[in-house]
Formats: sequence, structure tokens, C-alpha cells
Amino acid sequence: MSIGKKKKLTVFEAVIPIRALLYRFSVFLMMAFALFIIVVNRVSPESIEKFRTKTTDFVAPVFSVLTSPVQTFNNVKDGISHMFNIYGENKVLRQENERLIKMKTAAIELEAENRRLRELLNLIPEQGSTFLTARVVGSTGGPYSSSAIINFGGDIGIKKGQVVRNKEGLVGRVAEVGKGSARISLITDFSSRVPVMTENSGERAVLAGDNGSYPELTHLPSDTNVRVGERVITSGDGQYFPAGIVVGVVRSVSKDRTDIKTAVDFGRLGYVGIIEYNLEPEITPEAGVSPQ
Amino acid sequence: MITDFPTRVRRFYICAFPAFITLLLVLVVAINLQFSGLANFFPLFAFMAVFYWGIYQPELVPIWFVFLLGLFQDFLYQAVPGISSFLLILFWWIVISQRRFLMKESFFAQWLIFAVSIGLISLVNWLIYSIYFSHAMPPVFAFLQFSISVFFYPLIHKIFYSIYKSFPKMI
Repeated sequence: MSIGKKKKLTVFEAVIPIRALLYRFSVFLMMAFALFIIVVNRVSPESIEKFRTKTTDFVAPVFSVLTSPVQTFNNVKDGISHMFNIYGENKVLRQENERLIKMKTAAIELEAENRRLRELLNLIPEQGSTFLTARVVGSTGGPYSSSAIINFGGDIGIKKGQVVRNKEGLVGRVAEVGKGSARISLITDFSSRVPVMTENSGERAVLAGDNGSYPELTHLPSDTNVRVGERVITSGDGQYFPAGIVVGVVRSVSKDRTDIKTAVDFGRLGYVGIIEYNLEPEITPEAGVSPQ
Repeated sequence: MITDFPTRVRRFYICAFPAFITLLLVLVVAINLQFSGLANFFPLFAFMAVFYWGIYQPELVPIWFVFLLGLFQDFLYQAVPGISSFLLILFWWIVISQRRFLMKESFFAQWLIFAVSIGLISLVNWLIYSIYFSHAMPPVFAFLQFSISVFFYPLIHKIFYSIYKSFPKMI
């Protein structure tokens, strides 16, 4: 082999400098790629959403198995606690039962009266709603988001935008749906906005999540009549949430800020109901105002 | 050194163990344990893992793993995808470039350095979120997460230390 004659490189040898260069710049390349994903998510969130739902579908069965002992433990704990308080609870329940019997009689009378009045007014009844029960298996979120994962998804008919509640009150709405899991965006999430009204004063407002336990009531009039301790329920405005679901109670009223304490303890979410709400929302998060 | 196939497989599993533990920690935090009020303030376990293994055994936390870990965390916690990857790689790069200095330091000095660096990372995270949403995010939750992460670091350090010490015996 003469001096100066170039040695023919193999493919492997030719690739080595590129690999070394890539390794050297891998930090910047990876950071640039991460920034690219952030930008793509900002411009077109739906293109990233499927990866997120795949992740949720992957972890939900694991969570479901791991949370079962927690659920059992909580049930046993509650059972033991009930056992110790059984005498006192029984006394309270008897009193409550008597009160409920009276209320039931009044409710039957009111229902009959309502029916007669509806017939007189020829009122078209609102479409009913049905619901599915699911278990919260994951409490996901962070300093800038509040969400939860449930153990059912699109395979049993859960759809994006459905309303989620539990026995205490409004939980949130379905934000993403996978095959066997779904993610709920809680009403405490930064992006959450719920049309509400106060039960006694009848003031309408928008409940804005702030990631804490005390979301703010916004768009209240300056001369508001809202009082501390007053119950806040969904108003049904925009037809996005059914009217009348308990959201919380007014915690503080001041010139700068009026907030509520949510009825639901988001740290202890167990089972939730996914409401199939049959009315078409006037405003959808994706499309803005829907054509009607 | 030529080793037989079962030894290599065993070594692979042992080397993957810290990554597995890290993934498990990230997952465990998201399980609905029904402890009131703790859901949003999980400790930053991924950063703790990158900090510890970045100093003592950087080959166990390769950059691609750090990137995927961040992405997985973002998908799982409904964060903006890419942000954790970006911050974790930035953090990894700082740790790797300073590992010779960090290795010589005592545990308390490392803890302090972790606290300072995770504070800066939380600040950058807050800035990115504020820019992303065009709205200044309340810093209180980020501060709580930073505090809980600093508080938990010694425990995680201890767990990783025991794994690290058991490596020669395992291999």
C-alpha cells in the first residue's frame, strides 16, 4: 500500500465520527427535541394526546391492581370505625329516618304538584341522564394541573367531555379517553371553568380552578349578595354541566376574591359516576360556540 | 472480559435495576392512595435518581433513558409533554459535568447542592409554564413540591446507596 493512498473506509468506520459528533451534541439534540414536543403540543395538542392516552391505558391496569389493597384497607378502617360508633350512629340514623319519612311524603306531594303544573304549562321535559360508575385508580397532577385516572374508558362508552361526580358533588369532566382508561380533569385544575350559582342569593358566577382546594368564584357582580357558608351548585348555563350538582360552599367573600371550599375531598376520591348528559353544549372547549 | 450469556443477562438486569426503581417511584406517586391533599405535591423522584446515579454510576442513567423518563412522567401527570424531559436533561448535564467535584463532597453538601439545583429547576419549570400559558402561575405549589423533594432526598439517597453498595456482590 503506497503512502498517500487513501484507505477505503468501511461503513462502520465512516459512521464513527458521526456517532461521536451525535454523542457530543446529544444533550442539545435531546433538549431541542423536548422543546419541539412542547411546541407541537402547543400548536396541535391532539397529535400528542394519543401518546398520553396510550400511557394511561398502559398504567391503569397496574394502578387498578395496586389500589385494590388501599381500597380494601380504607373499607376495613371505615368498618372498624363504624363498629365502635354503632350505638351512636344507630340513634342518629333513627332520627334521620323519621325526618326522611316526613320529607318523602312532602316530596311525593311536590312531585304530583309539579306534574300537574307541567301539564298545565305544556312543558317539554328535559332529557334525562344516565351514568356509569368507575373507580379512581390514579391521582395524577402536579403543581400546575389536577387530574385523576379512572379504570374504564372508551370500551364501555365513556366519552370526552362527560361530567363526573361522586356522592359529595361535582368532580370534573372527562378530558381524555383511552381504550380501557380515562383521565378526568378536576374542577380544581387551572383550566377548569364551571358555570355555577349560589343556592340562596341566586348569584351566577364562573368557578375558576386554581389547583388548590379553594377555587375562585369569578364574574360576580360588584354588589354581590353572596354570603359565607352559602351552597354553590352548577347553574347549567351553557348546557355543559347539568344544573343543580353541588360544587361546594362559599368559604370567603372579599372585595378582591370570593372562593369556595369544594364539596368533594379530591385527596380521597374513590368511586365516581360518569354522567351521560344528553344536552348538546352551547360552547365546546374544542370548537368554541357550537352551531345551533 | 468474556462472560457467558446467563451472566450477561444477569448483569443487564442488575444494571437496569436503578432505572426500574426510578420508574416504580414515579408510578407509585400517581397511585390513588387516598391521602388527603397529597396528590399534587409529589416529590421529584426522577430528579433525585438522576442526581444520585449521575454522580456515582452515570452509565446507569443514559441520556435516552432520562429523556424517556421525563416524557413518561409528563404523559402520566398531565404535564405539558416535553417539559420534564427538557429539565431532566438539563439537570443530568449539570450533574454529569460536575460529578468529579460532587463525588468528593459529603452527604450534607450533596443534599445542599441538590436543594439549590432543584430550586433552580423548579424556577425554570415555573418560568416555562408561565410562558406556555401566557399567565404567571402561582409559585406556591412549586415551592411546596420543591420543599417536599428536599425533605425526601435523604431517604431516596439511602435507598440508592444500599442498591449501589450491593452491586459488587450481585455482579
